[in-house]
Amino acid sequence: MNLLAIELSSRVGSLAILSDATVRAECELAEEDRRSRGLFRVLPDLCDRAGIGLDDLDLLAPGRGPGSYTGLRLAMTVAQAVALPASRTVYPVDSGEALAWEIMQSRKNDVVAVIGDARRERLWLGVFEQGNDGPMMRQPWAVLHPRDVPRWVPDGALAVSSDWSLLAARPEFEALRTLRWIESDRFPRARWLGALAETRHRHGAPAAPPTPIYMHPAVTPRA
Amino acid sequence: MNVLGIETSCDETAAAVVADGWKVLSNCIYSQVASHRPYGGVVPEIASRQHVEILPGILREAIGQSGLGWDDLDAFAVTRGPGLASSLLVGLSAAQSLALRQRRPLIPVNHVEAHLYSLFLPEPPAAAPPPAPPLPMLVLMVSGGHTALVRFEGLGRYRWLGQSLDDAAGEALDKGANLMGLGYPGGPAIEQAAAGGDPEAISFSRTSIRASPRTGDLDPDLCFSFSGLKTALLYLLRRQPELLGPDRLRHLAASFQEAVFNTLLHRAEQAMEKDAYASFGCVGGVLRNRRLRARIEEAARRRRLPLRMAPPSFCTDNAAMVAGLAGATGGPAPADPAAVEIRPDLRLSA
Repeated sequence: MNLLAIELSSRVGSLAILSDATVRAECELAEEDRRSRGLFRVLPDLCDRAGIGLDDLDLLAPGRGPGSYTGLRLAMTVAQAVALPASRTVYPVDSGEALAWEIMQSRKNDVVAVIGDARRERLWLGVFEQGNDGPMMRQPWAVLHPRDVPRWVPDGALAVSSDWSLLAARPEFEALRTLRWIESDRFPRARWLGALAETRHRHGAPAAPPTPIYMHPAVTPRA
Repeated sequence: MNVLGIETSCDETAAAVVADGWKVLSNCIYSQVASHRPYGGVVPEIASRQHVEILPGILREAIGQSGLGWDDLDAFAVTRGPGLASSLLVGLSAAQSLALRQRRPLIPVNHVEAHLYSLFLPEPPAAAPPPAPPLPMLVLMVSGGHTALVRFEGLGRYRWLGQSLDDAAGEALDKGANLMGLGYPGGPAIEQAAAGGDPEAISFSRTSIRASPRTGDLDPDLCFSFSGLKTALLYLLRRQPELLGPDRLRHLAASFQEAVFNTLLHRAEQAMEKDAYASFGCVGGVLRNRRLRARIEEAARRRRLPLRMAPPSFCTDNAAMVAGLAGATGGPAPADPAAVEIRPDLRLSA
């Protein structure tokens, strides 16, 4: 089974083509290339390197976020459009879950808290623990004030963020110093997203809805 | 040449298949108006979220209704601007993906030019394209986002004569309807409320426009302004709230609507006086208003100009005009779909 994973939720995006769970080709998209122009410039080269054309794909795995709304919309739209002509399956995966899984594998830690900047002086948080087919969500995505975050992170959890360097520079980060952090920016990667999608799809797990995870409503209710 | 067009510049999610630039094989539109109604106008974030959700289904529907398969398409066309950036991006990235997947050219289209092209689409079903209008044609564009006068000398040959310096006519109707408590979208709400009303019951003065940095190189006589009209309505209602009463609202709605249309027609007739035209055309969503259509017909008769109005199906934003224009002009078509970018502030160029 050939799969294209598209991950654009953070400052560093990535694409990966997997064939039968093996990564055939992958690439990173720097912030300035994370727009549609950059993505469509690298996609043909990625297919060439993988030896797999867009019409050979069986599964499209876009990252649902949370993260940059523009990036999430782009990933979701591209995956759905590429899937259309041959009615291929779109199998979205939470970007934060892919990051949690990578951290679980590389750091041998069973519980990972994924944290991001939700703007408006808030953070978003999701907590995952090791499951059989990848991470299992222990604390669903939520928007919190920084001072409330530690209450929702279990003891022993490893905290990771794509925005660590930005968050650590802010005064409100003091409230988060009690957490056990990976002290560098860690970005969700398409290869982990694709691997999760492939495994779950193979095991018949239902796909997440093909909509980005928006951490704020489209219109902020008036106070 | 079969072209699939995509239009997501504002709050309509649309896809259409058009053959040879005129034969509309499908024209699918999802209007988001119900989602924007509570806010009295288009909320860009709601619009782009809905485009992501709705577009795949609309594309499937457009292909299904056309009777063609994906491999029968010769090109993809998409609105690249002007419009809301986050909405344009959804349509463009879908079109780029399809062009790349199907190895077909991607033709970027100017939304305003596509509206002008709606004059060349026949109301389906049609056995032939409409006859070419005598040129040059004076075109009045009246939509929710744009109000302008254009000298149309042929496809790709336009002169932008004047435009609204503040609200578009559709926005003016939205704001007027909001002040009268008539709901959103304002154009249809005012038209309904104005039924049986006297359009001359209340007089609204017309805004005069002088040359200024806002008019730039444009002729002030051919520019529009509706903000003064909206302010006049606001102050009128503060002085006389009884105008909103059940017996008087229809007269107020009819008078306000007439004032907007008077502005449009007055500027159009000034353009006809300043230059020679062989025909008169009108495009845009506000043209669905029956009173405006009648006023335009009357003006054309008075000036003895052949009249061409966009068919009602192609007045509001739609993708048939996008696919049609791309099929008729065949370009500009960059070889590389990746080279196309959205242009939220794109202008009409000759």
